[in-house]
Amino acid sequence: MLRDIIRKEIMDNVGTLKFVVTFVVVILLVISGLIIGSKNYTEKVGDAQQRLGTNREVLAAQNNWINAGYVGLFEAKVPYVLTIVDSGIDDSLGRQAEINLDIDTDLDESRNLVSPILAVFGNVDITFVVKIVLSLFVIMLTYDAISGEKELGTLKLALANEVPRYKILLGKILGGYSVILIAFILPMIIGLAFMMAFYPDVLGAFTADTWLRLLVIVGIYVVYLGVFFAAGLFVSSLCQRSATSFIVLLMIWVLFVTIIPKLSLVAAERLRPYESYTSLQTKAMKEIAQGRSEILKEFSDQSRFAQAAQKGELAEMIASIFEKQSEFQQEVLDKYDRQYEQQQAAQITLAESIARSLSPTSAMSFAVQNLAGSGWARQTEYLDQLRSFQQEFRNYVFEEMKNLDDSDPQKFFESFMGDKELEVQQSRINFQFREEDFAVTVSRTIWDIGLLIVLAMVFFAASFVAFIRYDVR
Amino acid sequence: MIWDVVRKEIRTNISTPKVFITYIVCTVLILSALVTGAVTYTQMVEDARQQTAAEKDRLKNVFNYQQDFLVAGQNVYRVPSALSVLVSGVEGDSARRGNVNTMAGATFDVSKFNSTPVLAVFGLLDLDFIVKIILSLFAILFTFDAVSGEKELGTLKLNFSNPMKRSSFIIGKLIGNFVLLIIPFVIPLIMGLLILEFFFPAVQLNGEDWVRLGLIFLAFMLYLLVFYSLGMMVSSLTKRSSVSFLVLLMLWVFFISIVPRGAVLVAQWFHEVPALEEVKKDFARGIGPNTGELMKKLRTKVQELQQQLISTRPRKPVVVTDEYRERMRAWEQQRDQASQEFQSWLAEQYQEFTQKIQQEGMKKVEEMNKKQNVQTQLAVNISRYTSPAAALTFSIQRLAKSGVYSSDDIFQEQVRGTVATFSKNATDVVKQHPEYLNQGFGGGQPIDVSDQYIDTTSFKHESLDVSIASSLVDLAVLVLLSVVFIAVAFLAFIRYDVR
Repeated sequence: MLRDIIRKEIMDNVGTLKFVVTFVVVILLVISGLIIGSKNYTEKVGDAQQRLGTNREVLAAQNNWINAGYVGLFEAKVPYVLTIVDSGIDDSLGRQAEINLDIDTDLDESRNLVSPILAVFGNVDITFVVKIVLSLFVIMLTYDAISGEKELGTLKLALANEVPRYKILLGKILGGYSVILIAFILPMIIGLAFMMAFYPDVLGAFTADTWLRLLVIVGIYVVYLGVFFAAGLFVSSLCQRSATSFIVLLMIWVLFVTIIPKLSLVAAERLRPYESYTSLQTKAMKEIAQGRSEILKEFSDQSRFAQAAQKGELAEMIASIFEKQSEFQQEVLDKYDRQYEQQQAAQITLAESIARSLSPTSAMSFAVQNLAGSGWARQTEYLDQLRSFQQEFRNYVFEEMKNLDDSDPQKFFESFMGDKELEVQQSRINFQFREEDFAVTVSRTIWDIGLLIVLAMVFFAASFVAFIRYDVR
Repeated sequence: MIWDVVRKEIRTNISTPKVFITYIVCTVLILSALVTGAVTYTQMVEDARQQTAAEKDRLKNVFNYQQDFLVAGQNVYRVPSALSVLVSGVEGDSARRGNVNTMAGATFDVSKFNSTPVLAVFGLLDLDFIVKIILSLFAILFTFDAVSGEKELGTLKLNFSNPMKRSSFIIGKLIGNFVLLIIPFVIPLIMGLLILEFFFPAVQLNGEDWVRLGLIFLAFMLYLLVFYSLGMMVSSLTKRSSVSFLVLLMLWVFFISIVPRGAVLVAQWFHEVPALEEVKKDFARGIGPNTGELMKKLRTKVQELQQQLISTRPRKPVVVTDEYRERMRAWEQQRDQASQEFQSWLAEQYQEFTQKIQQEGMKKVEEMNKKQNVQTQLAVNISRYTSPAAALTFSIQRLAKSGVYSSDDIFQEQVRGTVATFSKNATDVVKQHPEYLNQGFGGGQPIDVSDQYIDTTSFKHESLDVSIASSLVDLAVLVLLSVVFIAVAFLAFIRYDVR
């Protein structure tokens, strides 16, 4: 009997206009989303690779290691390949960094800053399709699942047979969910096939790790749709008229998808405000200016230079001036910048916690962003690794500065003012980002995934209880 | 008769949950948006003020003229328009700080500690979002079953068993429901503006701003009218309300996200823009060889001078005579003069050098910006004619001076305009005080360059007539769409089968 119910549910729904329209729209959006995502990804990777080659050229063209140190390296962030599925907030995040002796490195020039028109409308990626289109489809599917059948009179007819109530609901659940899966998984497979055909390079960038992540992402999407499905059934079994359940469900959708995420930020800003960077920066700049002039004063003594030249330690002394300045500046920045970053991160974390506990849409977004590397987590990790690399590069420059030929003042002068090309070791100026381990990422998202599953279970259980007591007359 | 219908619509619907929920949602969202916007704006104004003061302070005590002023340049800060409290536009992604220096000309960045990445994660809550997304959805909710629903309930044919003109009926419905949609929006908006007036003194709106505000409100009304009339139209074209809802929902998703994004992609496809990285790379490549040239010139000149001085130096005799001392003094005078001349020559060379580097770099950046603007304009044009959501966003961002075109672009343009004067003045100072260039390793006295600070208070925002001219196009699109939809709804209803 259960199988008959399931089959009836599927047949009923697959033939409807709403299914056909949704299916066509989803296929088109998934295909275009993946193709466009792949195009963007390929461009960004191309940019970054070009950079690796020219960094060495540019450094070698400088005359001396001080200039080289100040000109430094240009790094471009390589996005993670799964940004083709979920673009997250990547377009708003900086993607270029300068590594040199002077400024503390940072990721700047987000795509939206360069092309602000992109910021006006969001990206149409797979997450968008699931979050907006498919969840609305699920609501349209379920709002009249129970109340609609009651209105049509078919509910009491079904129950006039020897079918226990729970089986009817179970049949609806299994049947309806299959329809949703068909509307989602089929287009995904077709879309991936298209992507592989047009962008085989992107496919080449997929490691085993990547496939695992993609699998988990699809799983999260499916569970997310399950939450809305269960909520739809629940509300439908609470209302006598389908028009009411419809309005309620639409309100719930608006609440979860738009209102709660936005208000969580507002709440977090009230609950955990932080001191503006301006006052911190003023203090920091004052300290830096003072410290630098003191260091310079130390070396204004001409006799020290003369002494060092005699002992053949001129290069080392000059290098140590730069080193000291650099270390000192970094210390001050560490104190103030990191403090500010921590406070800011605390507010973001609070906003996220509020959002994910109250809205399954936020929980889904964060989880997918973590796995696809399109969120805040990968950005902070990237910046951390860039900072360690910055120290390594600076050490390399200081080393080279110390190795200057200072056996003879003329030769020393030559090496500062000369136009001979520098010998740059490629291995010391290459930055390779180490992606986070799959296991680590999953452990970070387990909370969100768990929330979604629990929410779906709760709604399913509630719909059972409601349906058992439903007045079918 | 029309007014009876209007009254009936209002009375039946005002106690329904949908009006109630709309009112609650509007109040919560509008007040949160305005308050948050005002707090953020107040902070931004304060930040800009403090940072400008700190920068002026820094300029009073510059130790290394070359490194800390010519190369590091000076920072100028942008204050967003007060109307960004209502329509935040692309503020989250706009340049807040400009840097003018003698090497790269003018650079801009969002200055990480001024932009909050959390905004990217959650998206800004402003009136644009509320009207464009939430209220348009509610407009559909109010109208999708306006006609088809009444038919399903059977009340439609009852109405026409009375001597009621069809036109009166549909017009009455249109007016009545629209009033119901608008009231929950207008009341919280007025409340919000009052709160801003009394509790947020930093948000100053002058006469021109109020005109802009009025036009923004008009844009909101027209936008809602478009979706409202779209709903009525589809409802009068279909027999079943579930079908009308499906169609309307798809159209909603289509107009609000897919079409605008598609337009941007089409524009990008038509007009490729080279990446900024290329420009920066070329610039960095240029520094080395140019410096090398300069150093070569320097070396030759220094060698020349050395030869000259050494060859004319009087030889020290075994017994120091007065004649020797005199000749020595003359030589020393010569040497000092030569040294001074050398320093002026050095300052000139340096000025030439920085101008050359700057010109090359800035030219490329300007080219790139021009191409970017063409692409942006194309994207704007395609999307505004194909999507009411795009038309709304562009018109209100233009009016609020917080959009793709307005605040940021104009700021950048004006900052770039100061580069030439700044470079000339800064390097002229070096000509007068050539010793400034030597202050590197020697410590020395702090230099006061605060009189060279660029004054941004003279910077202008976009003028009212330009904004109006641009947004008039968008408003016209909205009006046209509404008229078409209402006309079709009207005609469809005249022929509607009410049985």
